Amino acid sequence: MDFLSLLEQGLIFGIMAVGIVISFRILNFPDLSVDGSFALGAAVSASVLINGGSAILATLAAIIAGFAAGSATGLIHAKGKVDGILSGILVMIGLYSVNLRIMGKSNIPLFAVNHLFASKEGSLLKIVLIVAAVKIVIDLFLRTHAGFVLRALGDNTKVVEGLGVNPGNYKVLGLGLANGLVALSGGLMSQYQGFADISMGIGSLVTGLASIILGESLLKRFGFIGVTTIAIVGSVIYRVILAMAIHYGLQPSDLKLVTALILLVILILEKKMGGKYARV
Amino acid sequence: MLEFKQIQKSFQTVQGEQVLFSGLDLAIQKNEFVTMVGNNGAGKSSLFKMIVGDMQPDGGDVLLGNHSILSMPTHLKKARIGKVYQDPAAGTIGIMTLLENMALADRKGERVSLQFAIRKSARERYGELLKDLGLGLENKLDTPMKELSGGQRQAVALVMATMKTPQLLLLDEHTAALDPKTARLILDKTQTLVTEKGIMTMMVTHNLQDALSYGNRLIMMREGKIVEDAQGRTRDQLSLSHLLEQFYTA
Ligand SMILES: Nc1ncnc2c1ncn2[C@@H]1O[C@H](COP(=O)(O)OP(=O)(O)OP(=O)(O)O)[C@@H](O)[C@H]1O
Ligand SMILES: [Mg+2]
Repeated sequence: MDFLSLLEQGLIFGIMAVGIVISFRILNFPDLSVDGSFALGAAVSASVLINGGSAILATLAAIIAGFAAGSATGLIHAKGKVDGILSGILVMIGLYSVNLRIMGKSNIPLFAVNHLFASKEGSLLKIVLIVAAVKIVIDLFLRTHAGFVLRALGDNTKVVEGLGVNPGNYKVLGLGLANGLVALSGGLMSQYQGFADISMGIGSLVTGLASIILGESLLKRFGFIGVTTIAIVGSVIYRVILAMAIHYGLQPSDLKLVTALILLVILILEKKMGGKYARV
Repeated sequence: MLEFKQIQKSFQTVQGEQVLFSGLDLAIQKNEFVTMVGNNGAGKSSLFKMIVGDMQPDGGDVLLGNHSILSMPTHLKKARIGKVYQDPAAGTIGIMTLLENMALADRKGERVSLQFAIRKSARERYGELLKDLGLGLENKLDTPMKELSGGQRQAVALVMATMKTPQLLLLDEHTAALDPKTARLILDKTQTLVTEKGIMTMMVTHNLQDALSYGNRLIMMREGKIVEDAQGRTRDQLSLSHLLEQFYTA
């Protein structure tokens, strides 16, 4: 097993898990558009790169595109009064076509262009820096007035409205932020693996949820540990588990089933132990 | 001043149209603390809902400070109004700590910003506010709200609703779920806060004695109409037995 690349992948997917923590845990919003916005990040970043854009530009463009996609889910739900789950599904399906449009074909190789991880040299350092930056920014954000409003929204929209805040606007903002991070993760992953593929996002949401729940069940019993740490650490541990599954003879194509089973087992175990951590 | 003008409201029910208000008029002045009583279904909560925008009247107008507030966006209206209702879980954020809840209330009506939510010296200031309640809440600033008792939550909700002096305070059976001792404490606190800050207040209660003991104007409603409205000396002379009698003459 190549532990370095497991760690690197775990950290990159950790950014996605932080995004999912924001929608599922903080906003309490079952955002099913994640698979689409992860692939969107990859598609946007790859097409900026092959059109001569810099790696920084490609990565920023991925974040902005993800923010727009998340806002779309939020707007459909908050202004269009469509059920939350359905809003996410609509955006996810729509994004499949959008992503194909952006890419022009179903796979874009990035071996010929310069990007963040064109040389594997120093990749761990770059990834650690990016993930640390994301973690610090989100941790700080959650302590601001706006951050408090998002946390409050996940619990009681009426109280938020009573404070003179329009709840819909902040749901849109929160979902934008969440999917901006998911797309950032997708953009980084496409550069890391050297290609973007239209099917890259499939299973992202379940993977992310499994990571978060894993992180929660392992870390929460040690007292106060922030949601961002839980997401990132959970994501790394989850990669290691998947690698072990392959090491012991499973095919990479079996991994989605493994993910589903892991999630199922954790959910059942946690419910049995009082359901303290498992909350999807 | 708060003013209801010619309020009309009816509902479509299985038995056909059910009229609740047919031209209700009511004006409440700035220094008034109105206690409201009336049988179930009299329309007390509906009046409150029309003020905050959770219900739209079919006709008439609602004015706050001389301006119609019917078409104002709900969240902007609520920014100027404090409210505490019956359900202790409904007035505060359960997953956030007492300190965090107070910090949010402290910024009520402000534009949401990227400033840190908890201001310097907040801890001491909120501690002082809570200490007045005498429930020991000043030592629970880091406890999540959902771990507090209903009475404690209701006390915090009251402090939060009045922290930024609202133009109007609406209390809908806010002590109904509390034990008699805590209910008394919250009502006393309500009276003090409202008088000190001079907040125009409407308080619904089913406890007739409370309706007489607190506030400075009493209104009794029945089937969408005001059947008793007493203030000043008339109110001072009202007796519990008279109120009870009123209640049973339907
Ligand atoms: N959305 C609605 N649809 C139909 N009828 C309604 C609706 N809201 C209120 N009503 C009716 O209006 C009447 C007044 O209700 P309201 O809740 O204002 O009474 P209340 O005086 O607060 O009573 P209580 O003391 O029980 O709280 C009731 O008959 C109720 O059935
Ligand atoms: Mg009522």
